[in-house]
Amino acid sequence: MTASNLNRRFVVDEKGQRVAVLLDIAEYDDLVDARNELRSRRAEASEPVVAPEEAPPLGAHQHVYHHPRSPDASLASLRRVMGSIRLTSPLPPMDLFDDDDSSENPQGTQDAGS
Amino acid sequence: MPAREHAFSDALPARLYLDVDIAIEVLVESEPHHLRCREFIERLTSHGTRLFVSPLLWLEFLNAVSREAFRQRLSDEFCGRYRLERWQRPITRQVYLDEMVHRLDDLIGHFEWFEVGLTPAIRAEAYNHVTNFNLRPIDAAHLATARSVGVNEIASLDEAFRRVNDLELWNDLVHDRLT
Repeated sequence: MTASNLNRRFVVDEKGQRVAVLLDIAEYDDLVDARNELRSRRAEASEPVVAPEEAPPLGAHQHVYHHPRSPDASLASLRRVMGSIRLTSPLPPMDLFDDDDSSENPQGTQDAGS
Repeated sequence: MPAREHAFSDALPARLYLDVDIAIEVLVESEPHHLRCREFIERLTSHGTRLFVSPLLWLEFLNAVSREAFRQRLSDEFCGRYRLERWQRPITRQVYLDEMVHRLDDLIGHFEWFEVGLTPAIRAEAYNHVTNFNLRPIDAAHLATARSVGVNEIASLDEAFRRVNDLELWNDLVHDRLT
């Protein structure tokens, strides 16, 4: 069962919920190109640099990656991201970094996404 | 001599190593130290402090936000938007974690920052810190990473860092306030 939408067709289940998408091959190629370009830009932004002037001597094998401040950064944008995650109740102390979720996926298996 | 603890209102350092607990306090509105940490971050950005972080920052953050206890506390609206009931599906995890990590990246991006990779020397020094200061290995790795680039100022609410000799520890004296 499918429904068309320009170059995209969606596969839907018996309840009409979208479960997959079929793309025109040209659109797919555009997406792949865009993804590759994004990866390339990210890699360039993370080029290792020499240590900042006041940094200590860095060993020859020290890997330090310099990232300039985002050009879009502002006090307003900072305030938007701070507190942007809201929980309905505080987390228990020391809960964040303990590994006690093993019961959720006891076999440690990875779902194939089917 | 144990760590020297700093109030967030103290004169700010030019360079600071950031632990993940501060980032989580800043991003998560309901955390108990959210307000003090967000004011601290605002001051740091205004001051032009340069941040130093480890790749462990992202891995620990991923661990924290992936935890069931964390996800269960997200709003129904948020869970519905990301279809978190389908957590066992890779695509669900990818979309949700991308969103969470984007917020962490956004926060860090308000600073000039340096990511310091792990090296054999850092690993060896972390081992020493585990034995000398009884730190958890992950905390020892943070300490060794910071000091490997000469940064002795660490922002963390982790009480264990108070045991570290000669460390400049930015925790707003929360442990003294609690006792």
